[in-house]
Amino acid sequence: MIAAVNTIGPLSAQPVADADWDELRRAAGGDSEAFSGIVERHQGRLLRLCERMLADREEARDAVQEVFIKAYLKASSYTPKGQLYTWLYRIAVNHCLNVLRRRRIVRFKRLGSDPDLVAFDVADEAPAADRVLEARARWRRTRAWLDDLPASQRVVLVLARFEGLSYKEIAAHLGLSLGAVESRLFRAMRTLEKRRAREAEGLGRG
Amino acid sequence: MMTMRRTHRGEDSSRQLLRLLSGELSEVEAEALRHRLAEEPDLRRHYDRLTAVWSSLEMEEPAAAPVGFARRIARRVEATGNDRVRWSLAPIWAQATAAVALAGGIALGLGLTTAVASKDGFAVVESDASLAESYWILLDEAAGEPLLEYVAE
Repeated sequence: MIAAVNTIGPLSAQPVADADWDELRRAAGGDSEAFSGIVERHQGRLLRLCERMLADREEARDAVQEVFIKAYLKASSYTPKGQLYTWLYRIAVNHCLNVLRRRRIVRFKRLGSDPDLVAFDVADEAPAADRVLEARARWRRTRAWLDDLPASQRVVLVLARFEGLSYKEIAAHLGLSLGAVESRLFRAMRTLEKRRAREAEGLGRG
Repeated sequence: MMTMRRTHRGEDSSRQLLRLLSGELSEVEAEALRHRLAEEPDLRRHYDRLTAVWSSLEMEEPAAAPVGFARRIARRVEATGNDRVRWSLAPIWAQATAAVALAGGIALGLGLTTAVASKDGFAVVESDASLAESYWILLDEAAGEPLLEYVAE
Protein backbone atom coordinates (compact mmCIF):
# COMPACT_ATOMS: atom_id res chain seq x y z
CA MET A 1 0.00 0.00 0.00
CA ILE A 2 1.33 3.41 -0.88
CA ALA A 3 1.76 5.61 2.17
CA ALA A 4 -0.73 8.46 2.17
CA VAL A 5 1.83 11.22 2.26
CA ASN A 6 0.50 13.32 -0.56
CA THR A 7 -2.13 15.71 0.57
CA ILE A 8 -4.92 16.12 -1.94
CA GLY A 9 -4.42 19.50 -3.50
CA PRO A 10 -5.59 21.10 -6.73
CA LEU A 11 -6.10 17.73 -8.36
CA SER A 12 -9.10 16.95 -6.21
CA ALA A 13 -10.59 20.38 -6.63
CA GLN A 14 -10.67 20.28 -10.41
CA PRO A 15 -13.27 18.57 -12.58
CA VAL A 16 -11.47 15.80 -14.46
CA ALA A 17 -11.88 15.51 -18.20
CA ASP A 18 -9.99 12.23 -18.32
CA ALA A 19 -10.74 9.20 -16.10
CA ASP A 20 -6.98 8.78 -15.64
CA TRP A 21 -6.87 11.95 -13.58
CA ASP A 22 -9.37 10.49 -11.17
CA GLU A 23 -7.14 7.46 -10.70
CA LEU A 24 -4.14 9.69 -10.19
CA ARG A 25 -6.07 11.59 -7.53
CA ARG A 26 -6.81 8.30 -5.80
CA ALA A 27 -3.18 7.25 -6.13
CA ALA A 28 -2.10 10.51 -4.52
CA GLY A 29 -4.36 9.59 -1.62
CA GLY A 30 -2.53 6.29 -1.17
CA ASP A 31 -4.45 3.90 -3.45
CA SER A 32 -1.69 1.80 -5.01
CA GLU A 33 -4.15 -0.16 -7.16
CA ALA A 34 -5.20 3.05 -8.86
CA PHE A 35 -1.60 3.90 -9.68
CA SER A 36 -0.96 0.40 -11.03
CA GLY A 37 -3.82 0.93 -13.47
CA ILE A 38 -2.23 4.11 -14.77
CA VAL A 39 1.12 2.38 -15.15
CA GLU A 40 -0.41 -0.59 -16.98
CA ARG A 41 -2.18 1.67 -19.46
CA HIS A 42 0.67 4.02 -20.28
CA GLN A 43 3.90 2.08 -19.77
CA GLY A 44 4.00 0.75 -23.33
CA ARG A 45 3.83 4.11 -25.06
CA LEU A 46 6.22 5.73 -22.61
CA LEU A 47 8.71 2.90 -23.06
CA ARG A 48 8.59 3.36 -26.81
CA LEU A 49 9.13 7.10 -26.45
CA CYS A 50 12.04 6.74 -24.02
CA GLU A 51 13.69 4.01 -26.07
CA ARG A 52 13.59 6.23 -29.13
CA MET A 53 14.87 9.22 -27.21
CA LEU A 54 17.70 7.37 -25.48
CA ALA A 55 18.35 4.64 -28.08
CA ASP A 56 18.97 2.28 -25.19
CA ARG A 57 16.44 -0.26 -23.91
CA GLU A 58 17.72 -0.55 -20.34
CA GLU A 59 18.06 3.18 -19.91
CA ALA A 60 14.54 3.57 -21.30
CA ARG A 61 13.13 1.23 -18.64
CA ASP A 62 14.92 3.14 -15.91
CA ALA A 63 13.61 6.37 -17.35
CA VAL A 64 10.01 5.20 -17.41
CA GLN A 65 10.22 4.20 -13.76
CA GLU A 66 11.49 7.66 -12.93
CA VAL A 67 8.71 9.27 -14.96
CA PHE A 68 6.01 7.43 -13.06
CA ILE A 69 7.60 8.27 -9.73
CA LYS A 70 7.77 11.94 -10.68
CA ALA A 71 4.12 11.81 -11.70
CA TYR A 72 3.20 10.25 -8.37
CA LEU A 73 5.14 12.87 -6.45
CA LYS A 74 3.52 15.70 -8.37
CA ALA A 75 0.05 14.18 -8.38
CA SER A 76 -1.26 16.01 -5.36
CA SER A 77 -0.20 19.46 -6.47
CA TYR A 78 -0.73 19.35 -10.22
CA THR A 79 -3.78 20.94 -11.78
CA PRO A 80 -5.17 18.60 -14.45
CA LYS A 81 -5.11 19.96 -17.98
CA GLY A 82 -6.01 17.87 -21.01
CA GLN A 83 -5.10 14.22 -20.95
CA LEU A 84 -2.97 12.56 -18.33
CA TYR A 85 -0.91 10.87 -21.02
CA THR A 86 0.10 14.25 -22.47
CA TRP A 87 1.36 15.26 -19.04
CA LEU A 88 3.27 11.97 -18.61
CA TYR A 89 4.70 12.40 -22.12
CA ARG A 90 6.00 15.84 -21.25
CA ILE A 91 7.62 14.58 -18.05
CA ALA A 92 9.22 11.76 -20.06
CA VAL A 93 10.58 14.05 -22.76
CA ASN A 94 12.20 16.33 -20.20
CA HIS A 95 13.50 13.43 -18.15
CA CYS A 96 15.15 11.92 -21.24
CA LEU A 97 16.67 15.27 -22.07
CA ASN A 98 18.32 15.32 -18.66
CA VAL A 99 19.46 11.71 -19.01
CA LEU A 100 21.06 12.57 -22.35
CA ARG A 101 22.82 15.53 -20.84
CA ARG A 102 24.25 13.41 -18.04
CA ARG A 103 25.24 10.77 -20.54
CA ARG A 104 27.28 13.31 -22.44
CA ILE A 105 29.09 14.24 -19.27
CA VAL A 106 29.96 10.61 -18.66
CA ARG A 107 31.06 10.21 -22.25
CA PHE A 108 33.55 13.04 -21.89
CA LYS A 109 35.19 11.07 -19.13
CA ARG A 110 35.15 7.72 -20.84
CA LEU A 111 35.79 8.57 -24.46
CA GLY A 112 38.13 6.05 -26.02
CA SER A 113 37.70 3.50 -23.25
CA ASP A 114 34.28 2.12 -24.19
CA PRO A 115 33.90 0.41 -27.58
CA ASP A 116 30.21 1.33 -27.61
CA LEU A 117 31.12 5.02 -27.64
CA VAL A 118 33.55 4.88 -30.52
CA ALA A 119 32.28 6.44 -33.73
CA PHE A 120 30.51 4.02 -36.03
CA ASP A 121 32.87 2.18 -38.32
CA VAL A 122 31.51 2.43 -41.85
CA ALA A 123 33.26 -0.83 -42.69
CA ASP A 124 30.52 -2.50 -40.60
CA GLU A 125 28.15 -1.70 -43.42
CA ALA A 126 29.86 -4.05 -45.84
CA PRO A 127 27.33 -6.25 -47.63
CA ALA A 128 26.16 -8.95 -45.26
CA ALA A 129 24.06 -11.98 -46.04
CA ASP A 130 22.01 -11.53 -42.95
CA ARG A 131 19.50 -8.72 -43.21
CA VAL A 132 19.26 -8.58 -39.45
CA LEU A 133 22.95 -7.75 -39.27
CA GLU A 134 22.49 -5.02 -41.83
CA ALA A 135 19.58 -3.57 -39.92
CA ARG A 136 21.60 -3.61 -36.72
CA ALA A 137 24.41 -1.79 -38.47
CA ARG A 138 21.95 0.89 -39.56
CA TRP A 139 20.57 1.23 -36.03
CA ARG A 140 24.09 1.49 -34.67
CA ARG A 141 24.91 4.16 -37.19
CA THR A 142 21.77 6.10 -36.28
CA ARG A 143 22.72 5.93 -32.63
CA ALA A 144 26.26 7.09 -33.37
CA TRP A 145 24.89 10.00 -35.39
CA LEU A 146 22.44 10.95 -32.66
CA ASP A 147 25.12 10.64 -29.98
CA ASP A 148 27.12 13.28 -31.81
CA LEU A 149 24.38 15.87 -31.49
CA PRO A 150 23.86 18.17 -28.50
CA ALA A 151 20.99 16.87 -26.36
CA SER A 152 18.78 19.83 -27.24
CA GLN A 153 19.04 19.10 -30.98
CA ARG A 154 18.82 15.35 -30.63
CA VAL A 155 15.56 15.52 -28.69
CA VAL A 156 13.93 17.73 -31.29
CA LEU A 157 15.11 15.49 -34.13
CA VAL A 158 13.84 12.31 -32.45
CA LEU A 159 10.47 13.84 -31.69
CA ALA A 160 10.08 15.02 -35.28
CA ARG A 161 11.52 12.00 -37.08
CA PHE A 162 10.50 9.06 -34.90
CA GLU A 163 7.55 10.33 -32.89
CA GLY A 164 6.11 12.24 -35.85
CA LEU A 165 5.37 15.35 -33.80
CA SER A 166 4.78 18.71 -35.46
CA TYR A 167 6.98 21.70 -34.64
CA LYS A 168 4.08 23.07 -32.63
CA GLU A 169 3.76 19.92 -30.53
CA ILE A 170 7.50 19.76 -29.93
CA ALA A 171 7.52 23.42 -28.92
CA ALA A 172 4.72 22.76 -26.43
CA HIS A 173 6.45 19.75 -24.87
CA LEU A 174 9.82 21.43 -24.53
CA GLY A 175 8.59 24.93 -23.72
CA LEU A 176 10.30 26.41 -26.80
CA SER A 177 9.26 28.80 -29.53
CA LEU A 178 8.52 27.45 -33.02
CA GLY A 179 11.62 29.24 -34.28
CA ALA A 180 13.80 27.53 -31.66
CA VAL A 181 12.42 24.12 -32.60
CA GLU A 182 13.11 24.74 -36.26
CA SER A 183 16.60 26.07 -35.57
CA ARG A 184 17.52 23.00 -33.55
CA LEU A 185 16.14 20.65 -36.16
CA PHE A 186 17.92 22.59 -38.89
CA ARG A 187 21.26 22.49 -37.09
CA ALA A 188 20.89 18.79 -36.32
CA MET A 189 20.15 17.97 -39.95
CA ARG A 190 23.02 20.10 -41.18
CA THR A 191 25.41 18.24 -38.85
CA LEU A 192 24.13 14.85 -40.00
CA GLU A 193 24.27 15.90 -43.64
CA LYS A 194 27.96 16.74 -43.25
CA ARG A 195 28.66 13.55 -41.37
CA ARG A 196 26.93 11.44 -43.99
CA ALA A 197 28.93 13.17 -46.71
CA ARG A 198 32.17 12.48 -44.83
CA GLU A 199 31.28 8.83 -44.43
CA ALA A 200 30.35 8.51 -48.09
CA GLU A 201 33.65 10.14 -49.01
CA GLY A 202 35.50 7.66 -46.77
CA LEU A 203 33.73 4.76 -48.45
CA GLY A 204 34.60 6.14 -51.88
CA ARG A 205 38.28 6.32 -50.97
CA GLY A 206 38.25 2.91 -49.31
CA MET B 1 1.71 29.22 -41.85
CA MET B 2 4.92 29.61 -39.87
CA THR B 3 6.62 32.91 -39.23
CA MET B 4 10.39 32.65 -38.99
CA ARG B 5 13.17 35.02 -38.12
CA ARG B 6 15.18 36.52 -40.93
CA THR B 7 17.99 34.36 -42.25
CA HIS B 8 20.10 34.56 -45.37
CA ARG B 9 18.66 33.18 -48.59
CA GLY B 10 20.46 29.82 -48.65
CA GLU B 11 19.45 29.06 -45.09
CA ASP B 12 15.87 30.14 -45.79
CA SER B 13 15.72 27.61 -48.61
CA SER B 14 17.17 24.87 -46.41
CA ARG B 15 14.65 25.56 -43.70
CA GLN B 16 11.88 25.53 -46.25
CA LEU B 17 13.07 22.14 -47.53
CA LEU B 18 13.15 20.83 -43.99
CA ARG B 19 9.59 22.02 -43.43
CA LEU B 20 8.53 20.14 -46.55
CA LEU B 21 10.32 17.01 -45.34
CA SER B 22 8.77 17.12 -41.89
CA GLY B 23 5.28 17.91 -43.14
CA GLU B 24 5.14 21.45 -41.80
CA LEU B 25 4.05 23.20 -44.99
CA SER B 26 0.49 23.82 -46.05
CA GLU B 27 -0.62 22.13 -49.25
CA VAL B 28 -0.26 25.39 -51.18
CA GLU B 29 3.24 26.05 -49.82
CA ALA B 30 4.30 22.47 -50.47
CA GLU B 31 3.07 22.64 -54.03
CA ALA B 32 4.94 25.88 -54.67
CA LEU B 33 8.14 24.39 -53.29
CA ARG B 34 7.76 21.21 -55.35
CA HIS B 35 7.44 23.43 -58.40
CA ARG B 36 10.72 25.14 -57.47
CA LEU B 37 12.38 21.76 -56.94
CA ALA B 38 11.46 20.80 -60.48
CA GLU B 39 12.96 24.02 -61.81
CA GLU B 40 16.12 24.37 -59.68
CA PRO B 41 18.64 21.49 -59.85
CA ASP B 42 20.76 22.78 -56.94
CA LEU B 43 17.74 23.01 -54.71
CA ARG B 44 16.67 19.51 -55.84
CA ARG B 45 20.10 18.09 -54.98
CA HIS B 46 19.97 19.67 -51.56
CA TYR B 47 16.51 18.25 -50.97
CA ASP B 48 17.70 14.79 -52.02
CA ARG B 49 20.58 15.01 -49.55
CA LEU B 50 18.22 15.99 -46.74
CA THR B 51 15.83 13.21 -47.67
CA ALA B 52 18.68 10.70 -47.68
CA VAL B 53 19.71 11.71 -44.15
CA TRP B 54 16.11 11.72 -42.92
CA SER B 55 15.32 8.28 -44.30
CA SER B 56 18.61 6.73 -43.22
CA LEU B 57 17.77 7.45 -39.60
CA GLU B 58 16.50 4.07 -38.46
CA MET B 59 15.91 2.58 -35.06
CA GLU B 60 14.97 -0.83 -33.85
CA GLU B 61 11.26 -1.17 -33.12
CA PRO B 62 11.01 -0.46 -29.38
CA ALA B 63 10.29 -3.46 -27.18
CA ALA B 64 7.09 -4.07 -25.26
CA ALA B 65 7.11 -3.70 -21.49
CA PRO B 66 8.75 -6.72 -19.84
CA VAL B 67 6.63 -9.00 -17.65
CA GLY B 68 6.22 -7.59 -14.16
CA PHE B 69 7.37 -4.10 -15.17
CA ALA B 70 4.25 -2.38 -13.82
CA ARG B 71 4.57 -4.28 -10.54
CA ARG B 72 8.20 -3.19 -10.21
CA ILE B 73 7.21 0.44 -10.70
CA ALA B 74 4.40 0.12 -8.16
CA ARG B 75 6.94 -1.23 -5.62
CA ARG B 76 9.25 1.70 -6.25
CA VAL B 77 6.42 4.17 -5.90
CA GLU B 78 5.46 2.51 -2.64
CA ALA B 79 9.08 2.71 -1.41
CA THR B 80 9.17 6.37 -2.38
CA GLY B 81 6.08 7.05 -0.31
CA ASN B 82 7.51 5.22 2.70
CA ASP B 83 10.86 6.98 2.48
CA ARG B 84 9.13 10.33 2.38
CA VAL B 85 7.21 9.42 5.52
CA ARG B 86 10.43 8.44 7.31
CA TRP B 87 12.08 11.66 6.20
CA SER B 88 9.23 13.78 7.41
CA LEU B 89 9.24 12.03 10.81
CA ALA B 90 12.98 12.51 11.37
CA PRO B 91 14.01 15.01 14.09
CA ILE B 92 14.53 18.55 12.88
CA TRP B 93 18.26 18.50 13.75
CA ALA B 94 18.73 15.33 11.65
CA GLN B 95 16.94 16.87 8.70
CA ALA B 96 18.97 20.05 8.99
CA THR B 97 22.32 18.20 9.20
CA ALA B 98 21.47 15.97 6.27
CA ALA B 99 20.25 18.93 4.25
CA VAL B 100 23.52 20.82 4.77
CA ALA B 101 25.57 17.76 3.77
CA LEU B 102 23.42 17.14 0.73
CA ALA B 103 23.46 20.77 -0.31
CA GLY B 104 27.27 20.69 -0.45
CA GLY B 105 27.27 17.65 -2.68
CA ILE B 106 24.51 18.97 -4.88
CA ALA B 107 26.18 22.35 -5.28
CA LEU B 108 29.27 20.58 -6.57
CA GLY B 109 27.23 18.28 -8.83
CA LEU B 110 25.03 21.02 -10.20
CA GLY B 111 28.04 23.22 -10.80
CA LEU B 112 29.62 20.56 -12.96
CA THR B 113 26.48 19.58 -14.85
CA THR B 114 25.27 23.12 -15.36
CA ALA B 115 28.57 24.07 -16.93
CA VAL B 116 27.97 21.46 -19.62
CA ALA B 117 24.21 21.84 -19.86
CA SER B 118 24.21 25.59 -20.23
CA LYS B 119 25.43 25.35 -23.80
CA ASP B 120 22.16 23.56 -24.65
CA GLY B 121 20.11 26.33 -23.12
CA PHE B 122 18.40 24.12 -20.51
CA ALA B 123 18.52 24.15 -16.75
CA VAL B 124 19.51 21.00 -14.89
CA VAL B 125 16.58 20.00 -12.71
CA GLU B 126 17.78 16.78 -11.14
CA SER B 127 20.92 15.06 -10.04
CA ASP B 128 20.47 11.31 -10.28
CA ALA B 129 18.39 8.63 -12.01
CA SER B 130 19.61 5.63 -10.07
CA LEU B 131 17.48 2.54 -9.82
CA ALA B 132 18.22 2.09 -6.13
CA GLU B 133 15.25 0.74 -4.24
CA SER B 134 15.07 3.57 -1.75
CA TYR B 135 15.97 7.19 -1.85
CA TRP B 136 15.03 10.52 -0.35
CA ILE B 137 13.45 13.35 -2.18
CA LEU B 138 13.37 16.91 -0.93
CA LEU B 139 10.33 18.71 -2.21
CA ASP B 140 9.65 22.35 -2.76
CA GLU B 141 6.24 22.17 -1.12
CA ALA B 142 5.12 25.52 -2.49
CA ALA B 143 5.81 24.55 -6.10
CA GLY B 144 5.20 20.85 -5.60
CA GLU B 145 8.48 20.16 -7.39
CA PRO B 146 11.24 17.83 -6.21
CA LEU B 147 14.29 19.89 -5.26
CA LEU B 148 16.74 17.06 -5.14
CA GLU B 149 16.90 13.31 -4.99
CA TYR B 150 19.32 11.47 -2.72
CA VAL B 151 19.91 7.77 -3.29
CA ALA B 152 20.36 5.77 -0.08
CA GLU B 153 22.04 2.49 -1.08
